[in-house]
Amino acid sequence: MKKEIIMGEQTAEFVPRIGVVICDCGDKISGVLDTEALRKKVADQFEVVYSVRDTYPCSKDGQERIQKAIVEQHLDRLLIAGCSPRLVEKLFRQAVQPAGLDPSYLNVINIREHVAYVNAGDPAAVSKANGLIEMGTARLATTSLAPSHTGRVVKSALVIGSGLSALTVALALADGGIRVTLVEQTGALGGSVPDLQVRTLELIFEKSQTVLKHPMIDTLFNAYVSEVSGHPGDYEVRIQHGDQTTTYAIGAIIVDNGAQHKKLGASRWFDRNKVKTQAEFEAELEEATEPGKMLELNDIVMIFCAEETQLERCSRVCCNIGIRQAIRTKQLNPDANVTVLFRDLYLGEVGGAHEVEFMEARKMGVTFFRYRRDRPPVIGDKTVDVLDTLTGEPVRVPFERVVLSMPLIPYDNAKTLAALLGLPQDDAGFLAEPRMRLRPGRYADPGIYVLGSAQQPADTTEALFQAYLTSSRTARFLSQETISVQTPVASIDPTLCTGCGNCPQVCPTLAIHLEKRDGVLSLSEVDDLRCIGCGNCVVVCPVKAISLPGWDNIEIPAQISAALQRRQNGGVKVIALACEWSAYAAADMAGTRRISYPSNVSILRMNCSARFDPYHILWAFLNGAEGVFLGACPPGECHYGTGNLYARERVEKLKKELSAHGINPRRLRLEFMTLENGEKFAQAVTDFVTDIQSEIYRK
Amino acid sequence: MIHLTIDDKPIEVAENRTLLEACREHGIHIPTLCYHPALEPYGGCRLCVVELSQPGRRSRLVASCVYPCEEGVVVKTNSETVIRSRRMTAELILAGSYHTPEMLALGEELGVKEVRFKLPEENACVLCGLCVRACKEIVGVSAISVIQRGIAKKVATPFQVTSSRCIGCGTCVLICPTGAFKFESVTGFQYVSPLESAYRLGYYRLGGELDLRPHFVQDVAELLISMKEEE
Repeated sequence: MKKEIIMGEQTAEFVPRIGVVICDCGDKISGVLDTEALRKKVADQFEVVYSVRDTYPCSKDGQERIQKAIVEQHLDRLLIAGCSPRLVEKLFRQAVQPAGLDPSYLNVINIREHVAYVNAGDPAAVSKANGLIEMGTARLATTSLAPSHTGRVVKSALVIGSGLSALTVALALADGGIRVTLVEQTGALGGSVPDLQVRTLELIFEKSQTVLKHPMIDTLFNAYVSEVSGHPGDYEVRIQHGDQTTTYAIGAIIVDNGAQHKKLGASRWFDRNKVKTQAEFEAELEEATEPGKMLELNDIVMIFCAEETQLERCSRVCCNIGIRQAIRTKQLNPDANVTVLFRDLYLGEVGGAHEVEFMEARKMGVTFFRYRRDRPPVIGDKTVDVLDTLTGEPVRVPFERVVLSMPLIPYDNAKTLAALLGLPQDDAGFLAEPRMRLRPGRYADPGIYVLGSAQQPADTTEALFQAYLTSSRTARFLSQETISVQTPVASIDPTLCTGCGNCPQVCPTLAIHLEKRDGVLSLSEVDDLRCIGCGNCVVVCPVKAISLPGWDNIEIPAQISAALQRRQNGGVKVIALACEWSAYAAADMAGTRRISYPSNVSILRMNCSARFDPYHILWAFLNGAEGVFLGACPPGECHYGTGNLYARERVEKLKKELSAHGINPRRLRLEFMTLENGEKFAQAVTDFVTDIQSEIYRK
Repeated sequence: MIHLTIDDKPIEVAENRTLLEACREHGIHIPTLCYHPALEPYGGCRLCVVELSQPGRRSRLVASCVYPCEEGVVVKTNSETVIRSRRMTAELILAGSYHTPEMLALGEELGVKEVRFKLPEENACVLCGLCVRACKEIVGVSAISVIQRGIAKKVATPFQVTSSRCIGCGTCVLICPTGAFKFESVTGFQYVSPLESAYRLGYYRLGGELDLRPHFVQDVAELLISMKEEE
């Protein structure tokens, strides 16, 4: 068989006993489709040993009938053709379990929203429903068991860094009875304190004294993390500590390596002796405060948001530092002219302390000019030119000293940590959350937390809030006895794996790593508890050694073949691979809204667009599909990180190959849509089918 | 087994069934709005009312989705009282959603000829609570709930800010019978820009600039050649 040649795998000898339940849904399905004809058709299939029509299989009586059928007919696979699995799959999974059927052998397919609601009156509707049912049985005939995985949780936490938020988290966790290991790269606690506030320094001093005395906290100075392995709840962390390396068993990892003020280099555009950063000016002020010294500056210009990037990403601390410095300058030298040029003021602190400071600065006579984004201030030899937005007139301010607020940037070791822990970095290099929209503060790996300015610039209040939030999240995570994963996870056949190293690179959660085999070759291994089942590794494996139950290399081609077998009167055959978080849900929405689209589209439910395998797309084309439609989440909204971007890249690459080999690349289309976009799905599919039809006519 | 009479038909049902389930099981249509087979009954919309008579008691209207089957009761699902009650309920629901096509269709089915009461502010949400219950029972995250009371009652996230519990599955959007549910209100508008750098990092994490992706070229070529040979 062709399939076996391509996939390099053999189907087992075992013949499953499949039961099929076709739902009438009152008359919602049976009113449009001849469900009895569907039942007769599916009963002809070789593996189907039992088939029945039911008015409401979802009712309590219906569930009991299903359980009875499983027991009496010795069914080991069950297909339910009814409404959207997104709503009723959980119900049926719970229903089949007492009858002794594993939920991974249950398949719910949607002939209501995907057929009855959208293709009412279409003579091809029955054949479409029939095709969907055949796809369902084809999947069941080839699927394999997806066991659930559990792992232990070690009640200890590792805190990297010793800034304010790190100390707060360490104390909160240690007080809750969790053993904490605190790793500090330098010889002292405290971190960088980007907001340069005495209040914060006092707080840090107080906390570090408590941390050093706390019996539940081990503090390691001059130490850094050299290696991390294991899975959430049970990491093995190697820490380089002075000359020695120690291995710790850690349950959760909290990263707070902080951020620093960007340094200002020498420039030929201005006199570096007159132009200082806030940190440098702070030192000058400190010096001037000493007895016998005084501030000998009369004209001081402060420029906030000195770097273009700060307009996009507020550094959070500089406005407050600047206003405080303006007040101190005025206190030291009441005759000084202090001018503040700002783009926008961030004065956010709970209790409004910074608002008070701002008002105070204005009362003391500090001048504020707001400048426009497209007209930034220009520093000359002795003056700064700025366009005041209030009057719309250019202003020339003389200066003896210009103070620039430099942006906060991550430390260099953020990159190392990102690689070590599998954390994403944003454009500025911060360890940003991958799915801010869906789960703020959460990373792909549930045992890893990033807080404070390591994640994004944060002021003291924000850092404290984040610290308490993270400590409660960590405590909740560590309070579990075991953690378990119910979703299907990938597994690698060690006899087939060649150790090429493709899969560890594309894994969004670093669940795969290479292991030594016989000391020479290496092979990959999947960490069951870290795998989220996106299927990206299955696609990149060159020898197809990786399997993912439910979305495997046998199941998907089998479903595609089944979908393409159905006869159509003159229409084109189109198969749609739809990510269940976006396009599949959008198709459901189109059904609920009764937006019709051509009946010759068979929708195949996929877990993620990362699993859109070029081989499967080829398989569809080689088996007579006129078009392959792919539906994925919009960029940035993938539930598995960046699966949709991989899909986009693969499709672009595949299109070139297709055109080079005589297949019109327009027969393959990838569309991004959100799950609400029922209209878009229907529209995109309709356009695609029309396009393909015109292409075929042109031939 | 419990024996009861529904619409003059003697019926036998298993224990722990509601009247609605018994009716659906025997092909008697009862209009519902807040009922979903995958969820626990809620008894919110009162469209499923039926007339229940027990020996020695006056007949009364009960919500069939939450009322358990009892031995010997006589149930009427299409008596004049029932029809009038449903029509009134539908009209009152329509008062706040008189342009929603799904609700208009329902009103038509139940014989509402004219909506006499119209709220000044229309809202397609009819507070059936399906989204809230689906989020709790199907998805298991409880990211949304019904907040406030009376006329101000609405479905929202806690404190009406973007929910961090939401996993973005969209079950709420899918289950909404009137299409009122706005997904942005839960997930918020902050779309993350695609983390191209992270994705690049993933691609080239170990191999540096070396592209280690699998090559489809040979495979495609081989496949096509084998196809041609077969032909």
